[in-house]
Amino acid sequence: MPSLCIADQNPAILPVPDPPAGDLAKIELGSQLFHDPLFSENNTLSCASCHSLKQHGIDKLPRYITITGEQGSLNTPTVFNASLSFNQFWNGRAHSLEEVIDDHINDMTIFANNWSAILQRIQDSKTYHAAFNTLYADGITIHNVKEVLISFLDILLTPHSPFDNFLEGDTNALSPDAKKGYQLFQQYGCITCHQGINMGGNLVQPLGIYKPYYLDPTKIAHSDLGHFNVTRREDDKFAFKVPSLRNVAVTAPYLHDGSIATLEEIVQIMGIYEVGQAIPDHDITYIVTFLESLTADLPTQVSNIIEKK
Amino acid sequence: MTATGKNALIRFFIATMVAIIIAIYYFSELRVFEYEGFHEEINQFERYAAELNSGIVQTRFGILKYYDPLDNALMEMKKIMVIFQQKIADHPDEAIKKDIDALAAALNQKEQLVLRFKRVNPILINAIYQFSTLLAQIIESQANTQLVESCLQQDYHYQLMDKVRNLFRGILIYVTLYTDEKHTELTHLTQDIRLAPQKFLRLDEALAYADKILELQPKISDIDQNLFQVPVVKCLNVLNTTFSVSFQNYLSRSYTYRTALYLLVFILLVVLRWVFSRLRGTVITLNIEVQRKIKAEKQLEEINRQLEQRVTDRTRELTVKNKDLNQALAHLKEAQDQLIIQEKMASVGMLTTGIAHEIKNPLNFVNNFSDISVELLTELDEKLNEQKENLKGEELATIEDLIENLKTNCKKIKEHGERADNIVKNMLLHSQEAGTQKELVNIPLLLEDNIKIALQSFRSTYRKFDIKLEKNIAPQIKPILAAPQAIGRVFIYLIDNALYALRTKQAAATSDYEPVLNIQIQQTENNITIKIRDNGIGIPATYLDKVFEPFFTTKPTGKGNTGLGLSICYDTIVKQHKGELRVISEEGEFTEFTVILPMSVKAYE
Repeated sequence: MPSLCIADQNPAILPVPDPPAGDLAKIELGSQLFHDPLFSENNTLSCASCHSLKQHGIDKLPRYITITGEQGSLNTPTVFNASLSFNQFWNGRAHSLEEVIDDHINDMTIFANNWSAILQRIQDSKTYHAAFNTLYADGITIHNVKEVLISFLDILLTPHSPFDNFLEGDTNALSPDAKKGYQLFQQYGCITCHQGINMGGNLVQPLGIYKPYYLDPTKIAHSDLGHFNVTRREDDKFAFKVPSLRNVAVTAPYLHDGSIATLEEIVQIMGIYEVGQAIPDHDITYIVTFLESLTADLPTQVSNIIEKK
Repeated sequence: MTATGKNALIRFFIATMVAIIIAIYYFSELRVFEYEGFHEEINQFERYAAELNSGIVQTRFGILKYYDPLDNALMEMKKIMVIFQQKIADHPDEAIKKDIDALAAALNQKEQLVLRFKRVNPILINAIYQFSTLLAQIIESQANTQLVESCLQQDYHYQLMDKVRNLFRGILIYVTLYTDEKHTELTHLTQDIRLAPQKFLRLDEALAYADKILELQPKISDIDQNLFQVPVVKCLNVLNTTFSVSFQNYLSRSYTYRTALYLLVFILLVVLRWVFSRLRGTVITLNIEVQRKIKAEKQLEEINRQLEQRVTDRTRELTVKNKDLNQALAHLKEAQDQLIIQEKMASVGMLTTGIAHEIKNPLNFVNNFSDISVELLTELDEKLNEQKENLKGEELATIEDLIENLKTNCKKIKEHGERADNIVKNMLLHSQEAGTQKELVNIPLLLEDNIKIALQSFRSTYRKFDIKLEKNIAPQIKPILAAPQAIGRVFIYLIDNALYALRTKQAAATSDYEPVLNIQIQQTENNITIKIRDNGIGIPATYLDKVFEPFFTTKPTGKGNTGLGLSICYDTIVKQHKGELRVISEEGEFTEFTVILPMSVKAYE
């Protein structure tokens, strides 16, 4: 039964917590590294190039721009709240941010680099050298660099969205339309997959459950195969990580290939292919209103740290 | 074996023992069980395994509506797995590694199943939910609808409704009692319903859900079965047992080591005790030796001290004796000198006495006869004066001349005779003094007496002569050993000289000249100092060192002046009394004679 009761003993969604306190020195260093292009082989791309912190952690493009300036194959997922997800990458091949960092570094279309070169660059920089040696007894190592980056990523959380405030007891945080939208969200069963603390990010599901999404075999790109590329199992074809819906209204375009531009469209697609029902337009509107209530900004102390860099 | 060899051996033995003991102590007490903390970790693993299972069940039945706990539990279990593998990599053990690998495999299997579960479960749950909602709606709406169609259609409706209800019931049963027959039955039913020409509203959607349910339910059953067959807990228990066995071995080993440790410590203590007792023996012996040595040293010191004392005493005795001898020698020398002087004086005395006596007689004749001659000449002169008119002037003059010459000659003869007489007298005086004895003499008294004598004598010779007499005599002058007559004579000579000097100056000086004679007597511990000072004519510097020479005089001769006075004074004071006689003077101003007489002139024969 769809629940509007806030004191719900069995919530499906939990609010985003405040960013953890963490070691300020490591976080600042991580922030520096996040914006530093030294990770890319030709020193042009930094993490922030695609995961721009001023644009809710994405680049607002359908697909990312590769290191060589071409269009990549996938839509950039937001880095905001990424630490709350158990699955990373569209095809769910990573389960931790450490793995993501390794993957990105070795990815020929992203950083096209290797750890030893990166460590050397960090070593060569006086500021990084000094900073690392102050923080760590063993200086600049892969583990330490990752730890620093992840301490930074861990604080990129967006708590206190209107919906989260609603979950925590503020009944006026959502407009009546948004409340209706939430009810419909549950009624149509969207919530069975878009659940958990991050409203997604912990399941892998195929695109096209009740109706096949990819009908024309000639129009299937490699990236469309999704989780199949990881497991090589038939039923993993077209299976993708269920993405987080937090900040969904500001992280268009949607789907793994960035092919869907608007929320209305994606809600419609989800209805037909994933939930098995054609959602009527007026319901879509409510649901979209609800989805818009999932947007929040970085807390001030986090933006302050980012400004400092 | 030599003593040093034995000692070295003992030390080596003790060192080895200590090393062994330390090693054993390490093994028994300090060394940590290599898989320390395994119990904790196994407990944690079990807890997360339970959490995972609980999560699976709850999500399975829709009690838990989100899958984060499952992922979380799996993540934690994987972390512990990493710790286990790290531990076994650090301290390899075949049995444990096997069990850890088995557990890892089980965990992996579980993870795969959970993934599949997560794929199927949400869709199934949603499908069931949607299906039941939809069908409830359909049935409800149909129940409310009044049929106005033909009977055939009504029939169709009823049939269809029947089928739909069957489907509903069937699905609901199926999801709890998922048998293959039911599955087949329901599949047929859905196909059947699908073939119906007219459908109710949204029946197609419901059928789609029913198909989904029929598709997914077997899968979930399959997953369910497999999930709970994964022997995670079993492997965990096996691993726990293996760890425990290892731990027991460790404990028993430690126990053995500990026993060995106690034994060795005991042996070491015994050995040490033995070593210490030996050491003590050595120390005692050494101590005795040291004591003896100390005692010997002390004795030596004592003897040395005594020796030094004796040496000091002897030295002192010798010093005293030496001093006595020196003194005796000095006295002997004095005596010798004195004897020599005495002898000299005696011989001189004898000689002079002899000569003097011999000369005295003829001298008397000379003096007497010169006196007589003078008297005779006086008579002659008177007689001539009576006969003056009888003689011619020229002859008178010649005779008077002759008589004058004769008078003069006689007077001269008398004068020189008296002089010789004086010399002889003095020489006699000189000789008489050779054997004078010494006695205690009061010097001031002696001096005063002699001043009076000298003054009287002077006044008798030179008419009345007044002087100012200044006396500066210290009180309580002790008597000294001296020859009183000799000292008296010295005083007389000195005073006489002074008076003469004063008178001589007075004769030449102005009327405001006051002749002063200053007498001073002082006494020190060792001697008496007598100073006789006059402000007379003084002594020229060239004569000062000659005044004590015998026969040296500045007084005109013929006045009873022999030039022996100061010489005699010098001999008396210096040679006879071992004193000093000095003079200082300034010509025309003053003369001062200093007589120093020692107190302790020994009296001897």
